Amino acid sequence: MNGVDAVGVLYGLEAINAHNGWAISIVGVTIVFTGLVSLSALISQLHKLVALYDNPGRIKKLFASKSKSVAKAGIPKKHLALTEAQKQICRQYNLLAQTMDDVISLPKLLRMAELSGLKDPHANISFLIKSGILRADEQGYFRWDEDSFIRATS
Amino acid sequence: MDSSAACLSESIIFKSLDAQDIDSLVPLFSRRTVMPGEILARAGHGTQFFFLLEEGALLVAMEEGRAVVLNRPGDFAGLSMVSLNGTNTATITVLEKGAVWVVSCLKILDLTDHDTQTGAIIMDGWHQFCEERAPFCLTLAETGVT
Repeated sequence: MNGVDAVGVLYGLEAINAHNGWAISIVGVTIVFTGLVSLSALISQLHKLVALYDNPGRIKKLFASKSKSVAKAGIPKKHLALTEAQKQICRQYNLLAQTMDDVISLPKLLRMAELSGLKDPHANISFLIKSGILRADEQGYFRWDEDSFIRATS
Repeated sequence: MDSSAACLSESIIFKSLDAQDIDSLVPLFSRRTVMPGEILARAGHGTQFFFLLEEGALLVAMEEGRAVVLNRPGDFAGLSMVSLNGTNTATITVLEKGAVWVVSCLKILDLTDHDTQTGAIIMDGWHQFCEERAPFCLTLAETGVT
């Protein structure tokens, strides 16, 4: 009979089938593959560890910026009481901001608002800045503050 | 104290000057009411005036889509933020109705170019203003972008 020798010992595919060989091999391959992926991910991030070792000041900065953001998060933000028309303006500009990158160029946003035919784009952009929904960064670009937007429009 | 002197005294750039210096600056400034959408200076055009904000908001649009919004009394749209070698590097647009004090750029540059105490105080104030409101302006100036 195929896969069985003269003394009845299984070999070949029958032997694999009979002793859960396929399952064992799949588990083995998965373990090895997962191990290799984890190892490669670890190696790919090693340069960050080396950079920290080279410049220990960055560790301090990392903790300083984290504690700053924690402190910021601790400050309750002012709740804005907007009219329905103002909320509508916020929603319109949110749609425009979504078409841009995370970092918003204010002149570009203004141009887009003008092209879209939005009412009073200049005054409304000033309103979004004052309300804290559009926030300037240190590089001359702006960010859409989702928390402020949700609070203002809810 | 008239409102231009009050505005100068409120500005980070000019507030360190003594009362006599501020009084001598007052005649250089003239008040102008501004409306949203109005363009006060256009990038690429020759620089004629700088603007000291009394009320309202101005958008200073620079290269690469960068911008600064000036919306506090005493904010100054001038010097390296808006001009290089006599040409505007930024477009200044009014965002919100208000008033600005207009000053000839040559008169301000004349004050800051000379090695006087007044010039030094104004430049110190300018650096402080940029650090606070538009730190990237200082970096760009150092790298020669603006």
